[in-house]
Amino acid sequence: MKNSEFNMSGGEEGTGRLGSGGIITLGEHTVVSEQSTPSGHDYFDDGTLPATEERERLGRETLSSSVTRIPATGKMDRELLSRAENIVEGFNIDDPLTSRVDRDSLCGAVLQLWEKSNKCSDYHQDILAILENGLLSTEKFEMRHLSVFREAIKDLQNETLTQAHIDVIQRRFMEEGMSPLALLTEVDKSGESKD
Amino acid sequence: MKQGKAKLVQSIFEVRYEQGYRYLDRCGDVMVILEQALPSITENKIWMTAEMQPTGARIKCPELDITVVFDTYRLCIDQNPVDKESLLEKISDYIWSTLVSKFEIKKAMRFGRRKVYILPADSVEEGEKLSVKKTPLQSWLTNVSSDLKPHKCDVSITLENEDRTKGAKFSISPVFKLGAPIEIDKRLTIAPHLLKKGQHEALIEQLKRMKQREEDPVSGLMIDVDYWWLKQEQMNIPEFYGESEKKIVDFLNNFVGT
Repeated sequence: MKNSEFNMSGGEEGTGRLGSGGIITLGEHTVVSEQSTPSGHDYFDDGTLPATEERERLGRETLSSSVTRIPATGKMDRELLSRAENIVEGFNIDDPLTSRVDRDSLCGAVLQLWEKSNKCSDYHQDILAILENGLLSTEKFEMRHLSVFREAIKDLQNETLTQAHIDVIQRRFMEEGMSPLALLTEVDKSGESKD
Repeated sequence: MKQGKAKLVQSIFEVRYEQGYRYLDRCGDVMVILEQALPSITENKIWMTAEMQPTGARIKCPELDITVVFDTYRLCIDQNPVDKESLLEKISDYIWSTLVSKFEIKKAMRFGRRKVYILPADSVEEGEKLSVKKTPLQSWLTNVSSDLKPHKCDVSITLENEDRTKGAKFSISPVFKLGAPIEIDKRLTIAPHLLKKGQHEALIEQLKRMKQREEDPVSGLMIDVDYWWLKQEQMNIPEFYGESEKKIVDFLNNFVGT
């Protein structure tokens, strides 16, 4: 039985309640998705009935694409990840000296994560390697770099990772000019060599 | 009328956040990740991308009847009907952490958990009577007119703590399905052995009605409990789930009577 099949006896729509006709009502109350409004229920109230039901605007639904590698689970050291996250949050990019210290701290945290990474999956190790490469291949940190580091650390906090995580984070590092060869070619964000 | 057990029919988890504008840049990344990861955390159930628009994206799992909707300011995970609720917390936690990472969300403004139950009845009339019976306002406005009596009650109450960071809304409303009988056949309310004829048929009908009532009631009293946290220091999903679950069950038991 679908709750959205139920209809109010009385027909009044309150804030945050299951509104009629697929309307999401906001306010202080938890809003239900469009799919779960009374228009989707087969219950009706004795008030005015909705004339039409808002069905999905796009009927096109696709099955999950074939997955090249199955997702893997593993757990990284929460404390170390939290420390790495705090370093990134408090990273000082304006002062070269402090920036260097913050960078070394972050490198230290990554190194420690490596030491404790034997119990986590290949995907976790892949992201850790990408993060390490990014750290080592960047001379001067900017906000955009920190944003990618933060993303990589957040990914590492997930127990279940997939190939998609690796592809996405790898692309993000490349976009921000952080790749193993970036130091040699000085690839900027546009992907063009500065030479 | 014997009161049945409240049946959970819908379970919702919602997060509202600030500055989720990177949804517009990175919705595709999130969808690819969720499509690959969600089957593994939901016992290999299939997940389908239903919609991806600048105004919002939707992914669903037909086997679990779960729909996930997210956009620039909110994430909503909706299970309807609810057969296996245990996975919802895990799914919510995973999707929320993915959104935090990919959309660079710094702060969740509001966590909300909403559960909708049906207290079953056999007819529209019975559902309405139940709404009056279970409402503490039975005598409200009844002395205004001698010929007008309470027929049905649609009531809600909102409760909040002092600093308004936690709150709950409890509401009840009679509901019915299309095709539900207006009133119950009198024969079905009498014990079959007291009937002069057709005892066997009456018994069968009553058993059918009981089964219908338990599994898929045609009408009843909708009990809608919404619990939320607003702008809290720590917005942690497992903690919120634990607390909201307890509060919602407490509200329900207090209302229905355990």
